[in-house]
Amino acid sequence: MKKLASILIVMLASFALLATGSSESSSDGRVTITIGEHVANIETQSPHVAKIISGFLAENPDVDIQVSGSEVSEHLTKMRLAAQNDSLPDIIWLEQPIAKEMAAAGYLHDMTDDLESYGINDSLLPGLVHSCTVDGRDYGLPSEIMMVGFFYNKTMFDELGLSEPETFDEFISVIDSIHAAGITPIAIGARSNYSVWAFQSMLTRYGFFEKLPALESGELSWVNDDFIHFFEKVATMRDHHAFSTNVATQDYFEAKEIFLAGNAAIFNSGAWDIAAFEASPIAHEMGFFWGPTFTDGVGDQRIAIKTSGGVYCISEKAAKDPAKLDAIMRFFSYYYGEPGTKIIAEETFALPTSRYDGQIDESQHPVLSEMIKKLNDDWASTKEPFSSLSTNVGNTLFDAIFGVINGIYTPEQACQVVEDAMALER
Amino acid sequence: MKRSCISWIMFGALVVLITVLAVIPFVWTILLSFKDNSQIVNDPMGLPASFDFFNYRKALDVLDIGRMYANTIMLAAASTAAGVLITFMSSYAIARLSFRIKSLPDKLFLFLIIGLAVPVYILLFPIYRINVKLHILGTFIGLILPYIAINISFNTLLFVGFLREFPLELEEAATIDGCNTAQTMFRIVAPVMKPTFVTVVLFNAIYIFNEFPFASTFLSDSRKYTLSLMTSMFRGQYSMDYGAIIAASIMMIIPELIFYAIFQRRIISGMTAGAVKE
Amino acid sequence: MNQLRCPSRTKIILLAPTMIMYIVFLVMPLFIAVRYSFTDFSGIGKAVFSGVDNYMKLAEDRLFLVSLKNTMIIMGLSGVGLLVGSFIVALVLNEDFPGNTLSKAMIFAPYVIAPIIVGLIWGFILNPEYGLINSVLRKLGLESLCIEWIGGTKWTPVAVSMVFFWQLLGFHATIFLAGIKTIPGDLYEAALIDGCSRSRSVFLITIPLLKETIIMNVILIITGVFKIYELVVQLTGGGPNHLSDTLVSYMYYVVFTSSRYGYGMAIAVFILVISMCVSFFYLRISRNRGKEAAS
Repeated sequence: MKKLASILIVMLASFALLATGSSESSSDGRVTITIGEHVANIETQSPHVAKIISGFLAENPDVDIQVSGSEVSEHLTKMRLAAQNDSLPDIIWLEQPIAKEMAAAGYLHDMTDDLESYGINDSLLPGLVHSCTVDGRDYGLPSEIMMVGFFYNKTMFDELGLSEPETFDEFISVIDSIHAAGITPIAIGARSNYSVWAFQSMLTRYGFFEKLPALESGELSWVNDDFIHFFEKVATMRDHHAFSTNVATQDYFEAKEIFLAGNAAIFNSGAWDIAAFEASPIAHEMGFFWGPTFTDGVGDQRIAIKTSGGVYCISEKAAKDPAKLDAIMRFFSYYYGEPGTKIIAEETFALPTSRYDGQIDESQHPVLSEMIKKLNDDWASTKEPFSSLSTNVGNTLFDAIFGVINGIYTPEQACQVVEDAMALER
Repeated sequence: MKRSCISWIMFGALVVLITVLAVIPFVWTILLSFKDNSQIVNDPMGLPASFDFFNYRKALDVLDIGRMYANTIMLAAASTAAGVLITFMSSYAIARLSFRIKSLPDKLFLFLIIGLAVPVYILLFPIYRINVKLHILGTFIGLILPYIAINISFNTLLFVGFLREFPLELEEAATIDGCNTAQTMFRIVAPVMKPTFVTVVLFNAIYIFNEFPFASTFLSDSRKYTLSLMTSMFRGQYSMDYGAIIAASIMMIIPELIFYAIFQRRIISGMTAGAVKE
Repeated sequence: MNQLRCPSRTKIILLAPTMIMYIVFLVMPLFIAVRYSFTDFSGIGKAVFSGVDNYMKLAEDRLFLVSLKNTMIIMGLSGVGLLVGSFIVALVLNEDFPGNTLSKAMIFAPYVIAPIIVGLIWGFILNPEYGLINSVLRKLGLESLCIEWIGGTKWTPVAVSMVFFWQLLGFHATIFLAGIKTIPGDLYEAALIDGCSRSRSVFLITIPLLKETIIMNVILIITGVFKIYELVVQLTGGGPNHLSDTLVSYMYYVVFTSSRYGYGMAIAVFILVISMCVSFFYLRISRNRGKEAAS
């Protein structure tokens, strides 16, 4: 028995030894910044971030950067737990609803003054300044452009004699012609419930942002004529066979492969997938439109979501150390300044969130140059409804839209579902 | 034992049927691993164009697979060894020793198997906090300790159950011969219970091998990542590399199956050693 | 039945490590979670006590009730199937035949395949459009038997039961096998000499002697069904619109996707309590029956 007890003691002791692993480094003038990213593998999944970091480190030998990353849903769970336990990384990538909740709870640094003094606001694209604010104060910098709509296969459209639709009636007749030709009109996957981007733009054309304050206060219910009209349009698309019959079991990634293989004519997506589109066999046959306008819509119909997606935030804890905050702001100046912007546009061929004057080779990068054209067209920019709602209401809105696409909800039921979720928070 | 020809054929047919049903999806996975993403989604039924290992090469390029194996095997070995040892001890006490309060063993047993009913996702948040308090967040020890705890219920159920199916005579004889409790447990009972040990070790190890929620939440240093986290490496916010995920999974499954096959044999050899039992 | 005597110091040494680990890393966390189920905690910021509000909401939450119903359907279908199926498989694998180890490994294989792959493969098999099952049925001219296995509102729990059965058959069979291996072979030989047929000896010897193993498997199946998560997420994502969610997958959605931690913990506590009650109820009746049989 003694032997057994001593084995146990040795085991516990060795565990305790193992446990005292890493300790914080000393202060010899060097600053270490930690970054929590939303991809598991920075080099392949966010190559621009990896390149900007190495570029920055080469110019700033006094700074070290440690990146840790996980797949996006794992990352967000981790960051919630970390916030609650005061162990957030210094720079954190967050979706806007969570960023705003964390900012309100005091976990994030109010960077309004720093953005001004380091001149970062001047280098951002005009539409992306103040992209993540709580009570008028800035808490986040844009990590990507959320620019969403419908990509389409030009060759397929030409063969069927179709042109880019603008109004909802044109849109429906395009869908009818494609369906009649035996092709899936729109590739979309209900399993990725967030992939309703273009439908969010359609919602903004029914006066979402004008109604938001009244929705929040409870003066206006989600069950109102305009929103019912919006969901009716989704139902009309469904009834005209716009979506494949197995939409319920597909996810976004499958939908993308189906579109890129030429098995669907239209694909609901955004600027983040430019690189994947350009690597595909139909890179040179791709067009983009913002989605239909409505005769029964509310306000300006030529509006489109041209806004910021996820944001980079600074943890309140990191900001308490002036040397560290300075290093972080220098990093952001590099990221959003000329060097970072050049890396994004010219080395990784993605859309930068900051001002870029260079030229993109259209034959080499057909989709990227098409997107730059659309970004600067005359459609007014609006924000993404999801980013202005709480996580729960936002997700319920996604579910409601897909509920109509799946044929589970009537337009009225879909409105009611979101209303119920919002009522919990008033 | 003799069998008629017909019953042999029926028996053979049954074995083949069960195995084939179990194996079809597995074979299909292997076929899929030779296709690119577009083929996987658009032509799942077709045969691969060629048996090119490009998905495997891609997976090996991105993953530090040697380190991931080392981490996982270390975690699985440490947690399984410690967990099996301590739960065998406690289960032995519950199943065999007399307590002043007669119902205590039964109550302890029920208390210890409550864990089976706990979905691990409830534990993520609280254990994260406990790990922060103990300063073991992000270390291997911060995973090993919860792993041991998580398996206690399962191990207790199996150990106590199998111990109860076991006759007492051997141990009574051993006690009369002057063995103390530790000697009886480890020299007399443990060898006879080899099939149980093998089963428990097998399932503990495989559980930890495949464990995802704790590993993905508590680890942040990619050098400490385990095998179960590798699929995340091919899942971006807007992208999913099915081919690489499938190839990576196959590289993870095959060692587990070999491990299982070897261990299964030992259940049988363990039995011949335990033939003393009357 | 417990008869071996020993000093209490020994008992403490034997029990303490397990109890400490169990209490610190399982019971304590459980209490923390239960406490949050009485708050409106969102996962970020402060938790405000809200009494039994979350529990009251459960009864009105349509999606929660759907997930409860689905879990029960899966329990009914795969529970019985697994118990009988894995026992038969274990009996078969207990025989000596060429390729035994190989078929064991193959039957066990589904248990170790990562859930994401299980969902992917079975998605292709069950897909109502181009899935393997429906394609084969159509080829055979049995169009009328084609079912919307996944993605519909009706058959998804059945499909989940099927995949759950496939995935866990090897697991439970292995436990049965370990139990069967502890039955001394001479018992069967004696029975054979007495003129007892092989199938009769299964009922007369194997099943009665495997009482504890059967209890184990039943408890593992009950608690296992209440914990089904990855399978559903990978197969259907709970869709369409949460109508194929199980209790845990719905809880996960509430906690991690919708950020309603407090309410999610109330669902979790419900899962825990119901799963415990069913298991303990089963243990009680099976033990009582055992005592009656012994007396």
